[in-house]
Formats: sequence, structure tokens, C-alpha cells
Amino acid sequence: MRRLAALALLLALLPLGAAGCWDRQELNELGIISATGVDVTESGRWKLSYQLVIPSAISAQGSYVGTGHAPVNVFTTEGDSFRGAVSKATQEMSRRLYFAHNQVVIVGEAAARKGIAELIEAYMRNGDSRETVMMFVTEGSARLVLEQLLPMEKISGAGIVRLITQEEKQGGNFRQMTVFDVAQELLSPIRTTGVPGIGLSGSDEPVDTVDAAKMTHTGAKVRLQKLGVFKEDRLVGWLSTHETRGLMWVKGKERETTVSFGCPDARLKRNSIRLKQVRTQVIPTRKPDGGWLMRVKAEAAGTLLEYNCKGALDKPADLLELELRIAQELKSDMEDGIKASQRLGTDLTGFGNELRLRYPKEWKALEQEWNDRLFPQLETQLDVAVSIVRTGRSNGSYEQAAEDSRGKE
Amino acid sequence: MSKPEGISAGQIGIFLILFCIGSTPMFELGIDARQDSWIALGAAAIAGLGVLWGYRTLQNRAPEEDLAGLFKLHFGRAIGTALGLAMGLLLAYESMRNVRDFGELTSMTLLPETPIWCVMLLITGIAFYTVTKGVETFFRITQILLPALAGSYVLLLVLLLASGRIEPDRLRPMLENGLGPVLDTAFPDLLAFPFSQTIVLLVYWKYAAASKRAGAASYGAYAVVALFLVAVNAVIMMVLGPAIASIKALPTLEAVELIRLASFIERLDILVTLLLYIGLYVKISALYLASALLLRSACGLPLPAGALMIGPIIYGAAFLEPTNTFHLWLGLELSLKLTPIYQLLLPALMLVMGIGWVKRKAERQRAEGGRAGAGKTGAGKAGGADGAKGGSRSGGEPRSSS
Repeated sequence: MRRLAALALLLALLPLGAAGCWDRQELNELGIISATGVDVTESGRWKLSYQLVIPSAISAQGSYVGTGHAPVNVFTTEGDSFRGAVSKATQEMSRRLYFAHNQVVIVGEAAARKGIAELIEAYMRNGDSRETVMMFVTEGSARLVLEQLLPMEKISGAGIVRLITQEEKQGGNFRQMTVFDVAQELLSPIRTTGVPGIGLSGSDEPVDTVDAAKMTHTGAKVRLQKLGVFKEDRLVGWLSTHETRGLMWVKGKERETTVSFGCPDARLKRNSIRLKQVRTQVIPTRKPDGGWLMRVKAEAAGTLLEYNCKGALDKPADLLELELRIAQELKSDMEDGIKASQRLGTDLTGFGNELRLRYPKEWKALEQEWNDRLFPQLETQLDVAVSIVRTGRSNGSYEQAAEDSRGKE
Repeated sequence: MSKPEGISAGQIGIFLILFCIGSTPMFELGIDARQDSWIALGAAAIAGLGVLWGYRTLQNRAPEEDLAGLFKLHFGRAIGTALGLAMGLLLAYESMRNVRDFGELTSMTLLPETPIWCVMLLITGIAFYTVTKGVETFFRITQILLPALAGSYVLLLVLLLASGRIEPDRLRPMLENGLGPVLDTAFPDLLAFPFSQTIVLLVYWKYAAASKRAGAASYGAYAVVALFLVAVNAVIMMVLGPAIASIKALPTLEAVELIRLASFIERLDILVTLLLYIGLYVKISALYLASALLLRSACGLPLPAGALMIGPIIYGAAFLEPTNTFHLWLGLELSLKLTPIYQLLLPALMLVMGIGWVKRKAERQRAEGGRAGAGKTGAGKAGGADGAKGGSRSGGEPRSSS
């Protein structure tokens, strides 16, 4: 009898092992989202767009060519609150929205100017939509960007991630900003951040149909362009790509980039070098009159890519003059970046943070007026050193060789 | 004849490490001190070493007694029994807190749809099973768990380093507002939780009474775990920065979530959840077991009976707190102001009033108990020998005369 009772008890306990099944998720019940777009309506409501992956269309080999089905489906819901808008998706989508694979969030300009605090809050609080998604701003509507197909990619959301990863590694103009990074920078003492811009360039013909893949060229292209400048969670302006790169050097975030420079007395910059950042150091110092001076020391090293000037390059002394010229070029890039962010009254350089680390007591008095009054008038002194580590597979330039052979005749 | 329950000094050390880690990395403790939280935690850890010394000194007066026995030695039989029971209940409360933590953690991360009663029932059930198996088994379990826990934390640290997310500047400026706020944060809150929770050792030390090195092992393990906790705290701060660390409910999870390596090592927060599970399991079981052991030595209740009594109390009490916010407020704000009474003041009182005479009293008792009872070698462990197999003998032979 006792054994029977024990057996009955054990059997009763058995289902407990299946407790995890409460949270089962069946793949064929999910709508996997690869990118999200954020816009606002005229009345100020959130308009969220989702790029939904269509599994059957992406299962075939190759890029989006071939299947004849669109690989993604874009749709939009509206709501006063962020998650309120998300929950309305149940009214028009037969699958449960699954955000764990959402990799990109694109914010339209109007929404960015309204403020992204609610977006950050929604991403931080919920476990399913994580703050490791990458954030972009676009000058037009975010939905339009989501609708575009990328030539080499089936899922354009994932393609945009590859785009920015490549850009950060090779191009050196923009770097990835996740929602977390944005939140962290906006919560830092200087309360500013820059978010890479994304937009359409090329012809006005949008690439939102698979028929576009039948041609050898695409109309509009999704392109990284400009930097959206945020201050206290609102978009306050844009920087050009060139200015953004200068700031990357100032902040020490540059990995590798190609810099063009000119020959003496030449207007066009016909030479280029592949530069890697070695070190950047920002040293705030106090001027005798009580103001502040930011000394930026940057070091870069690189390999010549092309050289179309006259003169030999065989002795270290030959390179010296060249290095100075490149350093000058880099310096003016950096200056452009600093000036642009001063123009917007937004400390994108991180100078304020450096100042706080070195002079915590003084910083308390400066903090309130930093972005609006002190930073725009800040004096900077740039000290740039470039070393040409190697000159590639040529020594002197082709130009020089051609001239030498002419001289011999 | 069953072997008396006994554990080694090394086991005590391992237990202490796991117990102190417990759920501590769940929270960014000392966040009120902002980027100096690690200094606050370090200061509390140093003070905690003093507390540990106090506990150990108490234990040395009567190596074969546990907390309930020490209460009886210091305050007499009646008050001692009452205090022992009260302490048992307080430890059960602490265990309950961890059960609730376990439930909340699961709902927040792994199983949001699963009802919390089910999660908490499972963990309480596992803890109950552990407790019925007794001290030796539990300490062996901690030995098995340590390598997994230590290895995983090291792995996470390496990955965080590799991901380049660690920014030492986030700890600066150090002592921005002076030492005042840091010390305010450290005392009494951080001293009370996690460091003064080592009071459970006063229940377990007696099972290692045969080992001469139990004290040294405890100090060593404490130093290791204190360093570890301070390091984890500092690393999380270096990753998140004070602003984000203060708004996130589970900062460690947040920090680890940021790891993205080689496009496939990401979302490691699940790993952290599993590590926290190990820590919480050890803590729940340790406090539950300690509570049952105190019940046994305070009023002779056999261990399985005690476990059966306390289990439902722990499980039921976990539902008394209406919300997680209330749970966290009660645990990390309110009860930290109260726990020092029994974790610090009461032991301090015993420490002072018992100088000299308690040790002699304990020795006299042991001598008497030794003559009356199990003989020379068994006497030391007699208090712990019962209960393992149903506890038919009355608990605490050495204390039978007063």
C-alpha cells in the first residue's frame, strides 16, 4: 500500500519536469523580425515598421535573385506608446512578432527630433528586444529604408549590419552604435552622441521589388551617409561624412582609413595612404587666464597606396617631408570635425569627459554650460604625427621615373 | 553504525566561496556610491573579515557547538533555545529571499510564461531533497559545483576582455565626492549583505571541528571570494558605467549581453543565468539546511522532520511579497537595516559577555558529556551524529547537563 502511494506521488510529480514547456516557442508560429523602423505621425504617435523575414523565400541558395518571392515583408503599426504600437501587430499579422533576431533599428528624422528616450526605455526594459541592436537615423522615413533590398543580401536588415561592420573596419568613417552605446553616451556627463545616418542615394527608383534583381544595376542604393547628432536624446543636426571621420580620429575610435593628400602646390589630392590609428590622447590643460585648452595628440602609421609627385622616396629623410604633409591633411580633417561639432554646440569629441576625469572638481562648475557655451568656444591644439611605415612595392613614383626617362633622351 | 557527519577544512572553504558568491553578482551592490561601488564593497569586505574573526572566536570557545548551542552556553537554556529557534526562522527567511530571487530571475530571463509558483516549487523541492541528505552530501555537492562556477566566471571575464567592452576610465574619477558617500554605502548595508551572511558558518563549523585548519581555510576562502566579488563589481562598472548600472535590474546580465564576438558568440546572458542558478541553489540549500540544523540542536527535532516543517514555510513565505519591487526593497533596503541586529550586535554581545567563562563551561560540559556518552573520539561529533538516519537519539548530548 505504501509503495503504491509512493508510486502515485512520483507519478504526480512527473509533469513538473515538463514545466519549461510553458515557454515553448514553435518556429512556425513566429514572425521573425530583422529590422525595425521608427517614425512619427503628424499627431506625434509612434509609427513602427517591421521588416519580417519570409523563411521560405530565403531558404534557396544565392542572393534574392531566383525565387521570385520577396525575402522580407514590411508592415507598420501605430500607437501612442512604443510597445503599444508593437502589440497592435496582432491585429494584422498572423504570427507572433519575434524580436530576438532584430538587428537594426532605423529612426526617421522626425522621430529623432521628437526624442528617442522612449525607444531606449523600450529596448532596455524588455528581454526580447535587446539593446544590442544597431541604431541608425535617416533623413526621410524609416519605412522607406526597410523596404529596400540590398544587392548581395537576402535579408536587408542583416545586410545593413554587414554594411556598418565593413565600414567600421575598412572605411573608417562611421562606427557601429548599438542602442546600448547610444544610451550610455547620452547618460554620460556630456550627454551627446552621434548615430550613423543611413539613406537612399542614386536614382529615385526604389529597389523594393525582386524584379529589380533582373537588371545589372540597381536604382536607389542604401547608403551610409552623414552622422545624426544627438543632444539630450533629441536629434539636433547632421555632420557630413568627412567631418565624422575627423571626429573618429579625435576620439581615438579610428581603426583604418584611406587619406588622400596633394603634392606641393597642387589643388587636387592625387596621392593616398592607408592609415591606422596608433594612439590618440586628449590632454586638457588650464590656460593662465583661467580658460581651457585641449591638446590632442594623435599618432598614425600607414602604407602608401599611390604617389604621383616628383622626388625620390629611398631615404628616411625623403619621407619626412611627406609625413608632415599627410599629418597636415589629417590635422585639418580633425579640425573640421571639431569645428562642426562646436558649430552644433554638441560635444561629440568627448573633451568634456576627459576634462572631468582630470579635473573632477572644476568640472562640476562647467558641466551645466558645457555644450551650449563653453565647448563651442573651446580652444584646441592638435599635434599630429604620421609615420609612413612602408611605401608599398614601389620606391620612387612612376611620375618621377617617366620624367627621368624623358631627361635621358 | 553510521559514520558521524564530518567535513574537511577544504570543504568549508569551498562552501564559503560558493555561498558568498550566491546571488551577489545578480546585483551591482553599492551602486549608491556610483563609480566607487567597488571601493565601498571592498571596505565592507575588510570589515567583514573582522566580523568573521568574531564568529570564529565564538566558535573556538566551543568547537563542537553550533549557533544554538552557543546561545545556550551564553544565555542559559531557556533563552538560548528561544534564540536558536528565532535564528532558525531568520535563516529560513533568508532562504526564502533566495527562492523568490530564483523565481523572479527565471521569469525575467529564461521562462517568462512559466508561472512562478512552479519554478519556486521546483527549486524548493530540490533544496528539500538536498537538506534531507544532510551536511556531508551538501558539502560534496558544493565541491562538484565549484569548478563549473569558477571556470564559467573566468570564461566570461576573458570574453569581456576580448570584446573590448571594458573601459577602466569608467571607474574614474575615483572618490569624486570624497570618502563619505562610499562609507555610507558600505555600512551597514554592504556589511550586512553579503558579507555578514557568513554567520551560517556558525552552524556548519562544528562539523569540521575535527579539522584544525577549518579557521584558516575560512579566512583564506573569505579573502578569495571577497576579492572576486570586488573584481566582478568593478568589471561590471567598467563595462556599464554608473548611469546604466544603476537603472538595470540585472547589471551582470546586461554586461555579458554586450559580448559579441566573431558573429556567433553572443547572448551569453543565458550562461550568467545558469551561474546565478548555481549560486542561488547553494544559498537556498545552505540557509535551509542551517535552519533545519538549528531546529535540531535547539529542540531536538530530527533533520528530515525539520526539513519537512521549514520547507513549506519557505515556499509559502515566498508568496507573501506581492511584487518584485517590494521583494527587492524589503531585502536590499529595509531588512539590511534590521539584519545587523542578529548578524552583528548579538554576536558582538556574546563575544564581550562570554570572555573567559564560556570556554571553561563548554569544556566542563564536554568532559561530562564525554564521560556519560559516546566515548572520547565520538564525543566531539556526537551532536552531529544523530539525525542523519532519522535522528532517533536526542540532539546535543554534550549539552545535556547545565
